Amino acid sequence: MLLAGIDIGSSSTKAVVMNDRSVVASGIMLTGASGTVAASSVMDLVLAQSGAAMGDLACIVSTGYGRVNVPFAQKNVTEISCHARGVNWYFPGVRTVLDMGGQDCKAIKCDEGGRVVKFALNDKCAAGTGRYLERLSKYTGVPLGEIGPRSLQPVNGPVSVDSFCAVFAENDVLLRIREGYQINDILAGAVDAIVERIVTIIQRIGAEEELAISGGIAKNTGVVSRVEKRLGMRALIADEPQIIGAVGAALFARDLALKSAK
Amino acid sequence: MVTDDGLLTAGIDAGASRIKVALFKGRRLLGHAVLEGGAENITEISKRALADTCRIAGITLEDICKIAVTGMAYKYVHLEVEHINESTCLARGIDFFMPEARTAIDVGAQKSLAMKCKGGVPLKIRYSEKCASGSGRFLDVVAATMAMDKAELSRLGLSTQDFVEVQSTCTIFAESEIITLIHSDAKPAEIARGAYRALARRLYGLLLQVGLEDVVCVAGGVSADACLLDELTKLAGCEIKTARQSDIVMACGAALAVQ
Repeated sequence: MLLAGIDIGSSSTKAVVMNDRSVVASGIMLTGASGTVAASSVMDLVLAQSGAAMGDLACIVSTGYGRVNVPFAQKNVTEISCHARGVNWYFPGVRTVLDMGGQDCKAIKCDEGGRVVKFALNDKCAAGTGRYLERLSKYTGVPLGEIGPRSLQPVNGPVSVDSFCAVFAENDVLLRIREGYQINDILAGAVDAIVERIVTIIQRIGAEEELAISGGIAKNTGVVSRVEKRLGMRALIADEPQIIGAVGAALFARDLALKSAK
Repeated sequence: MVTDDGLLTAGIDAGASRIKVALFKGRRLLGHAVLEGGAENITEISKRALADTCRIAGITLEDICKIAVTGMAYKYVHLEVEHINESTCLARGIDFFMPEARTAIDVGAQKSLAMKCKGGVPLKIRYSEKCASGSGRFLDVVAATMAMDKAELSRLGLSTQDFVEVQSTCTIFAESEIITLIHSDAKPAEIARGAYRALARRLYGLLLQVGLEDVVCVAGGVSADACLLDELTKLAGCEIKTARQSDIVMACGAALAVQ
């Protein structure tokens, strides 16, 4: 049985095709101006990769910020449920999931079946989200992918960035640059500030072993290693942390297909 | 210089975007200056603002007995000055400009301060300083996104009573939301109104935390904005007045605090 999950995030859209045992194809592309268009394109991509046609799929479930805009999905499920379910498929021992996306940050407590027990969410503020790092990259001129590693190699130690607000932090950072501080030291301070913010969200649900991190920011080593250090826990990260939500959606699609087959 | 009617004192309000100076003799305002911050050193701008004020008042810098400093950037003013906290300065300033006011709100470029006060003494205070959404910065970003200056944004907002909701609290997210609204053919005037309404709601929330009492006095650089005042008045349901020289209220309060 072939199933698909599609996760339309604020910044990127992800899709997976799964069979009963594994992920057979996955794709990620920028969401751009239209979630519906991105959903079709990424779906075409994963179908081509898996050599299947839309009609071969037993069920498609959508999730994420733009989940209601997927005309070809049979059902939509919240991204919180999908992340918990997706992480559980990779790492069954995980009870705490931290999902950091382009425009929000969620901490989820889940049970042994990947069901959500409790969650805390920040979707009101850019601090602690991918957007903050994108802006930091833009005004420091450091490519997004280098922010993590460089923030871990301060020259004279982190320079404190007073504000976690992405708007005010921009002023702080530009001021520090003008004052002549090393970029790595400033990046260390800025990443410290948002990790503090992320940690308060996790503390609202109470971190329990094991911990997994999903979403785009899981690729930022600077954020991950600081979260690990602050919580005193090692973070489990899937090979492609951005598709976890889509995997969860595909697992819900399997439930649905099995139910309707009965 | 001590005379019968009080000391000569100056107050410097070093804000996030501008430096304001006021000069007092007793309770008489002798002169003031407001200079843009920009990239120049804050101490240098403060010196220039002081010199301008002295010239207006016809005195020399040496005549001033005491200089007080307040505002977000106070620690960058490297002069022989006494630091006075913002809430004291606001309460003193309000008492000077509008003694009948029991509630005050100062809306600045980077933070807002709501207060209940009486006789120049702050009774209860609440700051909004951690997040740009409750400050003038929010309007700066909205105006920049709509490719206009703040005066235009205000005029545009005042041209209608209708509005579209700007739902994002975070200024960064609001920027994207406004771009989406523009592309979805929402009327620019209604977007502007919506943005003012969103800011006014947050300021109103801050006022409720200190307790809203007649008369409300608004101070600070952003408060002269007619569209913001219009929205705030609608929400508060009581009279909201702007201090006569709203942008120097803090500077005056600082000068008065060291009388």
